[in-house]
Amino acid sequence: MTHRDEMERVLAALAEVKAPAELERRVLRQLEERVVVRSAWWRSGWMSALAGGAFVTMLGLGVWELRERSANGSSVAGSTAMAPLSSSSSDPQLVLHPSARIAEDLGAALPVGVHKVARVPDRRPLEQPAEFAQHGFPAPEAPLSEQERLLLRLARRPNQGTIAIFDPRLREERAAIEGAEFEFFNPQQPIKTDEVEETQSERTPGKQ
Amino acid sequence: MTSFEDCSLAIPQQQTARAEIEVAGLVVQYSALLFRVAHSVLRSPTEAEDVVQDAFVRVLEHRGKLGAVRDMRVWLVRIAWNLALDRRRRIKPEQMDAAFVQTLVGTDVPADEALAEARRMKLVLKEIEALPRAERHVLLLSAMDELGTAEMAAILRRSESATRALLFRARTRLRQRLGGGQ
Repeated sequence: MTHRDEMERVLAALAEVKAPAELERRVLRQLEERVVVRSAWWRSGWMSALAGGAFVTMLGLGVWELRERSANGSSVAGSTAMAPLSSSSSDPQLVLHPSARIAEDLGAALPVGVHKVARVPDRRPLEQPAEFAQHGFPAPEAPLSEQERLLLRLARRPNQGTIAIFDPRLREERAAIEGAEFEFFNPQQPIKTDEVEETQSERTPGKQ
Repeated sequence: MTSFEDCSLAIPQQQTARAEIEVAGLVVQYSALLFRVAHSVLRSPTEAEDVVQDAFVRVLEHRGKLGAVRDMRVWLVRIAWNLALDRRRRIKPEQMDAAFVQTLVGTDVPADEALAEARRMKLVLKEIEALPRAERHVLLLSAMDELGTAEMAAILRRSESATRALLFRARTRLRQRLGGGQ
C-alpha cells in the first residue's frame, strides 16, 4: 500500500465515521431540557417579579393603612373628647370611666347608661386614688425655717432708697446723709499748711 | 428510522413552537453530518457529540432567525466547524489517534501487520496535523463527500478558487511529506 493510498484511506475513514446510536434523540432531549428549563426560569422570573410587586404593594397598603389609622385615631380622640358637650340628654355618659374600660376588657357587661365608644388612648392625668388623698400623698410643704423666714422678710421690706425717689422730703434727707458720708470719707479734703510743715519737720530733723 | 414523537420540544408560545419543530427537523437531518465534521477535527466521538449538541443549542438560541438562513447545511456545518475548532484548543487530537486508528486497521490481519499499519495511519494523521492551518482545514472538509467546493468556500469564508488551490497544495504537500518520510 502506497502512502497515497494510506492518505486516501484515512480521509475516507474520516468521512465514513458513523454517528453514535441515538445521537439525534440525545440532542433533542438536551434541547428539550434546555427549553423547559428556560421556560421554567422565565416563568419563575415572572412569578418572582409578580410576587415582589405584590409584596411591595401590600407593604405600601399596610403603611398607608397604619398612617390612616393613626390620623383617624387622633380625630376620633378629638371627637370623643367633644362628645359629652355636644351629646343630647339621651346619652348621659359617653366617655368610658377607667373602671368601665377595665370591665370591658375583662368581658363584663357594661353598666346601664354607659355607651360603648371607640377606644382612644387616654391622655388625661391619672386620678389620685382616695386612700392616697386621705393620707396626704404627696407630702405637704414643710414649714419655713428661721433663716428662710428672715430672708423672706428682708426681701419683702421696702427699699428706703427706692421710696425716697418719689418723696422729696425723704430724698433730701437721703442726699444729706450721702453727702455727709462722702465728705467724711473724701481723701482729697484740704489739709492745713502748718500741719503739713509740722509733719515734715518731724520727719526730717537733721536738716534743721 | 427513529421516531421522535416523545422528544417534542415544549414551547409555550405558539410562534416559537413552530421554530422548535423546525429545529427538531434539522437535528434529524444534519446530526450525522455535523458529527463527522466535528470528528474530523477532534477525532473523538465524545467530543464530537458535544459539539453537535452545542451547535443545535446555538441554533435553538437563534431559532427566530432561521427563516433568514439561505443555505441551512452550510450554516450548520460552519457552526459545528467553529465549535470544533474552539474545542480543539483544549484537547489534543493526537491523543485520540490511537483509538481512531484501531478502527481503521483490519482485524483479520496478523498482529505485526496490524501494528505496522496502525503506525502508518498514525503517521498520516500526524502529517495532516502538521499541515498549514488553512490547507489542513480544506483537506479535512474535502473528506466530507457531501460538501462541494462552493460549500467549503462558504464555510471557510474563502473564494472557490482559493479553496481549490489550498486543497491542491494540501494534497501535494501531504504526499511529499509522506513520500519523503518513507
